[in-house]
Amino acid sequence: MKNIISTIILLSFFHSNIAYTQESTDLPKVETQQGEIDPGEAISPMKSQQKAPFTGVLLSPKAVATITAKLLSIVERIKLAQSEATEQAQEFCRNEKATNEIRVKADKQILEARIRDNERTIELYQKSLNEVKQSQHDPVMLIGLSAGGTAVLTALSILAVAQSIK
Amino acid sequence: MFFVAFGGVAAYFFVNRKRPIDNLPDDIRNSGKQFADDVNTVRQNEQQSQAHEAQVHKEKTEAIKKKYEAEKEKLDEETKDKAEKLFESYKNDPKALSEELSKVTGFRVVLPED
Repeated sequence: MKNIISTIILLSFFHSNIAYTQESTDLPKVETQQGEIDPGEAISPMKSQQKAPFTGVLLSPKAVATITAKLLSIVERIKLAQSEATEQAQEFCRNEKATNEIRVKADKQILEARIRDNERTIELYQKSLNEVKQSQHDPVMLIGLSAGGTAVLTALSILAVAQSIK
Repeated sequence: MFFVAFGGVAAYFFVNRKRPIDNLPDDIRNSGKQFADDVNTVRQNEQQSQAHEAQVHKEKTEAIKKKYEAEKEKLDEETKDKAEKLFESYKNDPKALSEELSKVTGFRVVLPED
């Protein structure tokens, strides 16, 4: 899938470049002299009616002045763009840090609330357990009471039988 | 007879009495509800803080963009002035103008044939 997307992007990139090139190459054809030597990267100051030393593009003084001034300002433009990118990146990092801090703080508060809830639950269980323990009777006491009650009942029964015989 | 009736009533109340442990499910439920309320409050506060932070970020980003747009405009103006000065200085001297361009680009200056 990634390969397909990459291919489409690559093709669209070339397509736009081809279209751009076709538009920009729409210039008048210049016939070069036979055996003309390539001057390399050269410029030629010329006055009207002078013979050009090589086939090329003639620029007006204003165009040359503008190009020169723009080229002179390139370093400052790069510095400006670099400075802007740095500030934007710093702001992006600050925002990322602040966002993470907010999220982590909230997560911490939720964990603390969970701990409090668990502590409350433990306390409730503990309280109930204590109350259950307190409500339970002592088995020794119960046995004693049962034995005592049985003895009393037996004695009363014997007494009753003795009285009835009399 | 009276003791039997009294014993029956006492046994009924003993069996149906409200014991402390009977409140435990409700207490746990209430505790859970309080926890849910706490979580909701925290999440609401978090959302508010995130929204505020997003606004701050947007404002700061726009401020930086605006600052540099102004700087670029200033630089464009300076470049324009420089171009104007160059043009005014060398408009009748193509050779000097070519040399200025050559300094910046490194292109060789080729003088035309007379």
